[in-house]
Amino acid sequence: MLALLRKDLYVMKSYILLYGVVWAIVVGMLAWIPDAAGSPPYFILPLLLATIATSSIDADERWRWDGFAAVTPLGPGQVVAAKYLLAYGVVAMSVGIGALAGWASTLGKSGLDMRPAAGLMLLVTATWLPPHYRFGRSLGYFCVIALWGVWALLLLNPLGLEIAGAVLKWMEDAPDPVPGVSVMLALAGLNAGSAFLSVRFYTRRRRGCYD
Amino acid sequence: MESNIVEIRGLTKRYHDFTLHDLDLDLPAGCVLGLVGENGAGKSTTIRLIMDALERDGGTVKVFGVDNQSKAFHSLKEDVGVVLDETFVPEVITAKQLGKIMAGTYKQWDQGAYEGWLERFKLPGNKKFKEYSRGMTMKLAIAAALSHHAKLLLLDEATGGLDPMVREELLEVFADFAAQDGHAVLLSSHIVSDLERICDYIAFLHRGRLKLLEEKDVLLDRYGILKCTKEQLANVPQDAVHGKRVGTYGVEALVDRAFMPRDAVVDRANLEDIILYLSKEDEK
Repeated sequence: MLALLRKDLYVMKSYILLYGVVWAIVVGMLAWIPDAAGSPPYFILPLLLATIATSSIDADERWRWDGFAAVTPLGPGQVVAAKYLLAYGVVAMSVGIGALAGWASTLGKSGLDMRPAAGLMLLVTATWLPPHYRFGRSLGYFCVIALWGVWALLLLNPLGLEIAGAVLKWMEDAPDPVPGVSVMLALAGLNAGSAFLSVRFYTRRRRGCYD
Repeated sequence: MESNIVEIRGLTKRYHDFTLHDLDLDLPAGCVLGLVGENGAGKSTTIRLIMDALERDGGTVKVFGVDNQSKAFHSLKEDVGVVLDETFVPEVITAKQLGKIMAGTYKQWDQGAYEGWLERFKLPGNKKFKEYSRGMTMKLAIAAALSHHAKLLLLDEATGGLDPMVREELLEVFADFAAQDGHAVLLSSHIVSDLERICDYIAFLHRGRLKLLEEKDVLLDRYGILKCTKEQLANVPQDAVHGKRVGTYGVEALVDRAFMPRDAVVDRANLEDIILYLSKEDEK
């Protein structure tokens, strides 16, 4: 599995470095703005960073790496686990860089809250990888856009269901640390389910079951 | 008695536009088996099915006596070196980096052997893969396949698109590999002259069906080319004729020597002739 992670780092290192540097600069500037953790610029870079794992899947598809992996002792679980490890590594790196850049730019003050960025990246990882493994590059992106489109619609509340409002109200009313722990558990569950689905989809895709 | 390294029985794979039908094939130890056939005949599909990289629709495959869908086969993949007909190395990776990736992929990886192959094939270790020529690409894939102490080599069009000198060099490598105790090579190609040079057995796949599987020498002894007129050919037993080519000045036919009169003058057929005529016979 570490061999696969090594390969992904060789392939994606320039993107990781570029996004990491830009993220550090963005956080360094946003740290001076009150409530910047909720602003759109704060979420754009983490969103891009979170796509590194899916870009790596796309690269594998482009270079027919999966076809080769299928004739080696590498099992489907190892291949998929390496992608999730890459994604979580990028989350950890982004949070680390962001915290450091925010702390440095504000000369030791608290900097910027990195939890929303980390949450977004984990959500992207959980929702983007299974469609890529099931449908491949092009259709995978289409499914992801459709899925997030549905979520956006729910947030806009066109049917008057008040789902987002109810969740936000519950989070405001619940005592600490219940909301934070709940979000963490939800993300962990989502990621575990996502990894299970990804292994299943990847195994079948690699064996040509979706051709 | 020779033991079979690969045993295939009734192997079937169906796609919407192609079917590999009921394939039976044995690859004995110490042998090179040439898998020949037109593009889309099922050669690559067969190789992937041997490695259980594709879902099959029927039949069984045993490699080193182990069913390839059993758990035991997973660790046996260490003993199989595979070169696929398409590149698999991301273009930003160098040969040295590939070595590090392979070292984590195969428990039996031999870095010294890999570096030896890179040197022998004159492959630069620090050059990115995108700067490699087709010949260098294939050599790199072969170097990787030969560097984890494999006992079986599965080579899918490994000599395709290469110049004669590189092909010559690689054929020598494959022949040396097969000569080692307990080793075998399955080489798919549509360059029949390559197969004729190093193979012990020839399997001819045509439109997803195994048209023939025979020892190469038996094949070359069995068939010959008869050059005659149409009238003369009409007098030849029809069981002997396996395809013909009518020209301005006469007819050329692939004939089975066993059915020919003793006094008939039959030229030696090469493997390419045999394959071409047999594939045409099927189209009749």
